Amino acid sequence: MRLSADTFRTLYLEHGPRAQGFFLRMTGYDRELARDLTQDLFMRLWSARGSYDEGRPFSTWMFAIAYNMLKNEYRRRMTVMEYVENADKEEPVIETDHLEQEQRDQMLRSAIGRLPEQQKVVFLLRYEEELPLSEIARVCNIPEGTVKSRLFSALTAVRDYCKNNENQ
Amino acid sequence: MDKLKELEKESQELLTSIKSMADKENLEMPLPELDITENEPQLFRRRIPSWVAVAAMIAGIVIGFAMPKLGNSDPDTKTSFNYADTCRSIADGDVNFALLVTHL
Repeated sequence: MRLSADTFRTLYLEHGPRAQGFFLRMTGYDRELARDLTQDLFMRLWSARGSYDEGRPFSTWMFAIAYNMLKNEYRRRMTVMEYVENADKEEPVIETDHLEQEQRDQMLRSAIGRLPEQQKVVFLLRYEEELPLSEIARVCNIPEGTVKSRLFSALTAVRDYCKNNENQ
Repeated sequence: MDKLKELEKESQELLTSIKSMADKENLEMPLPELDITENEPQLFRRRIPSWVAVAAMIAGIVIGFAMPKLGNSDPDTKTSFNYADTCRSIADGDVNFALLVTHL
């Protein structure tokens, strides 16, 4: 099944922000890189549209390719730690009215940014993109049991980080 | 109930905050331009119609074989080099009519 340009543009408007947000958080809030990766991702999806299986959700196909692109990007940059450091440095514009909310968001960003890459990807796909466990397993090419154990570790780490920082 | 579900239930407030933060971030960032067309990518950029290129190539081969035998017995002369240039130009699809007419 080949997607028409119009259908693809609709899919881009619907799923593009999700992919861009995923890249944004996976790269430790590197906005330029997230934009470039999103554009590159959708050009790749368009080129490979002949291999799209309509029986499966578009998001699974999209995130599977997105994750592979990220792995290549990590390999290129040699270390994921660079992104973790970026996440800590991220300083969004804070309006005084929303100070508390922004501080909480910043704490959540740091907590997620500190997760190892393998835990972070399953965490974002599950709790931000709300993908079912079976689809996450397909995207990451790992068994469902592994998805569950990584989610458990990731959620525990995020909870602990937040608890420690809220008390300070 | 498995351990993960239990933990998710206990962390419901945290997960809701994470989801709403992500949704907000997704909406705040504008999408990059996407330039797609239905056409398949072209291997070669065509400047002339393909039938002209084919006809020119055939003409080039015919001229290349026929002309030295008809008008020039010495392959080392300047004329022969000109024929070769003309034929190569034709085969490349870049017809130099002035040169072609001169030597016809």
